[in-house]
Amino acid sequence: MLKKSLFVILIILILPFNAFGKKGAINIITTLTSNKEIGFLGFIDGVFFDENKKRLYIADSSNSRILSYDSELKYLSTFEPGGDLKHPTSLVRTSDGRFLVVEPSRRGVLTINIRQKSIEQVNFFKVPKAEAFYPGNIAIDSGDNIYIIDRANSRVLLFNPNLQFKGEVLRDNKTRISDIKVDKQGNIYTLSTIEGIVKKYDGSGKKILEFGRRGKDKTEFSFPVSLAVDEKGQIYVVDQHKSKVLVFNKSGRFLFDFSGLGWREGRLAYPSFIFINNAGTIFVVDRDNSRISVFR
Amino acid sequence: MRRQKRLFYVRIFSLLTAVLVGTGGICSAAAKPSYKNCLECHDDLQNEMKLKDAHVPFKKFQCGSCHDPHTSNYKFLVKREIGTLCKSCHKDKAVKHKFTHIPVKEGNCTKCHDPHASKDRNLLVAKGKDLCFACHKSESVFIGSKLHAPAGQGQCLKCHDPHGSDNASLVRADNKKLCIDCHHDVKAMKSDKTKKAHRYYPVLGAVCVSCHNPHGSKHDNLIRKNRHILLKKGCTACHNAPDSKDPLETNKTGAMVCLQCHKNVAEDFDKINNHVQTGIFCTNCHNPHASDQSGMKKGTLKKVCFTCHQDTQWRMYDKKTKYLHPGLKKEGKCNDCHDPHGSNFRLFFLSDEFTLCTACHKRHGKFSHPLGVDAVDPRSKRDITCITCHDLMGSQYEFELRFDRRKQLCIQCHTSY
Repeated sequence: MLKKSLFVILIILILPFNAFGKKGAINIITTLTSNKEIGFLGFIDGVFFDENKKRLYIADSSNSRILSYDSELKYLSTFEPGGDLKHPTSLVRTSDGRFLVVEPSRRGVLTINIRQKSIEQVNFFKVPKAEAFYPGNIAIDSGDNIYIIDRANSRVLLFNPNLQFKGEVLRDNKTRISDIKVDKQGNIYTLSTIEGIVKKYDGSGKKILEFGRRGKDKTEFSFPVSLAVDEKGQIYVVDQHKSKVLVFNKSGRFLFDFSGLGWREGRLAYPSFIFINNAGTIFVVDRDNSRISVFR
Repeated sequence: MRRQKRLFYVRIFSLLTAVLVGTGGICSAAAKPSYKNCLECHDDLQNEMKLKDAHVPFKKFQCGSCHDPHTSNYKFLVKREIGTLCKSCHKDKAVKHKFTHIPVKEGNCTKCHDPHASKDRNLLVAKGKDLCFACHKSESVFIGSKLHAPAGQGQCLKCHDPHGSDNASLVRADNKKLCIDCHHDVKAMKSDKTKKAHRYYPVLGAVCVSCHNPHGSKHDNLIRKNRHILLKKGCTACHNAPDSKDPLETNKTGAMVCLQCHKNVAEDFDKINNHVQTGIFCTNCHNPHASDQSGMKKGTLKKVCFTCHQDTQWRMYDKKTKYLHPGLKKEGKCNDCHDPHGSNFRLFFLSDEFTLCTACHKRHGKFSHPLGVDAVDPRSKRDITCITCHDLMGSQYEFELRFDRRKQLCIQCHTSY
């Protein structure tokens, strides 16, 4: 009896530290799952939160559609243009309402203007070595400049808001680039899955920070696939094989991690992408659970 | 009465202590325990003691430097885990390399070394190739009757470092340097025979093992078994001409040099999941010139896949992993389920999970727990598939289940039970 009481007291004393300490700083708010309205979510690849319209867009790749949700994360509509959009993966939306969507089946990037009902391929005519271009993820900065990963050439291509090619903002000859995000100050963050390295560059492409490695330690990556940056400059890295999100401070020091392998709300199963909006809401593509887990 | 008895024992104890301290009995016993006594029981070690290359602490009867004579948490009463124990003195072996021999990584030093004594140098448990071939089966190392001289003579260590190296396959130096250290004619590219064999291309900076098997081959000059079909036509199908400014450069950008012919594979790289990497990324897994593997792979499928997916390797070989999909651990048939080029299905699967699994597990195709769009996982609200319950890449539970089927698995969803 005494032992039991002591155990309960101990749990009461310890729990608050775990629940409301470092880990507890991040909580699950909601989960966007398959339902009767939208049907089964397929192979989700990218998400993007439009700060102007306060809407969330989801690229449901295997179902060839883009879903939109309002600021309360209630389903709004589906954009499903048929054969013109085969497998949308990564996406962004410009302040004038155009979508830029990576389409691997066309080995290119599409501009979608829903109002004008037009879908056009971004012109890579002026891009050197365009014949060997394979698009990776896409990012946008506060000035509507577009950053596109060229995986085959391990570089990031910069396009201005008029989608004119402005040059290679950075080229990484040592590591492969898997994901990219740009913060409000115009700093560029890249992640390499195979090497397990996060890099931060200033707007001119000069490297200012590098950290991370693959390993078995809690602070190391197993298979990092996506990254995002919050308002404080904290860097969030999705580790697909750990099914966790690892959080680092702006100097690259490990702070904490959250979630873990599971199927219930708040847990993740092989997550593949992360996006953080200005309000600090964290959207994680929970790929094997075919859902978006929303944390704050 | 009792008090007198106690006093008597105290006096006896004091007297004995005084005698022992006076003669130095306790002090010397505590300071210098004689481990020579160990051999009285462990008489099997007496012969080993006579061997020339005995381990120095063993020879000096410093048994206590490795063993605790009373108790230990480890086998053979050693003080610490073997690897840690050895590296506490052999600090040079604790240096981290890019590539580490698995026994070294696992701290399994005694797999190759006898900690007491050996007839062979460096306390090795066997001599030369017999030691290496105990694990690296000779039939898998030597393909064909034509052997590279050092390999045939069992001089594995001539090229490989048995502990670790910064070069793949634990070779002592960069492939290019390693070969030309002996093959001086190649170094100078003087011989007409060498020049002609390499079709007048300046191969000095190239990787020799991309065409030659450094152990053995069925073919002359140790050329690997399968050769790229275009080698017959000449190198210019992929490379610039030998007399051009940059002869070894390919005539197309990046992987296009391969994909211009392999068009069916090119389509796979345009799928949602794909293995597109930097440069001529096909050569991450394939050898474009010659290979001993099917599909011109660089090595066995497992070896190729684990080059990048090392965390999957850790997981598969983790102590907790008791069950793996059959054939995966031994044969490493990753491509039985995954498409290594690209896939529009989850986890690079060849098709949807149900079609994929029931292609072999036919009985489950006819009778099984409800699956597919009509069966929803109440936890995630997604459709139930085979991998909802099975984790084929490594599980603690039989049938590679995610939970114990006797108490945890079903109640994940069927909570009312």
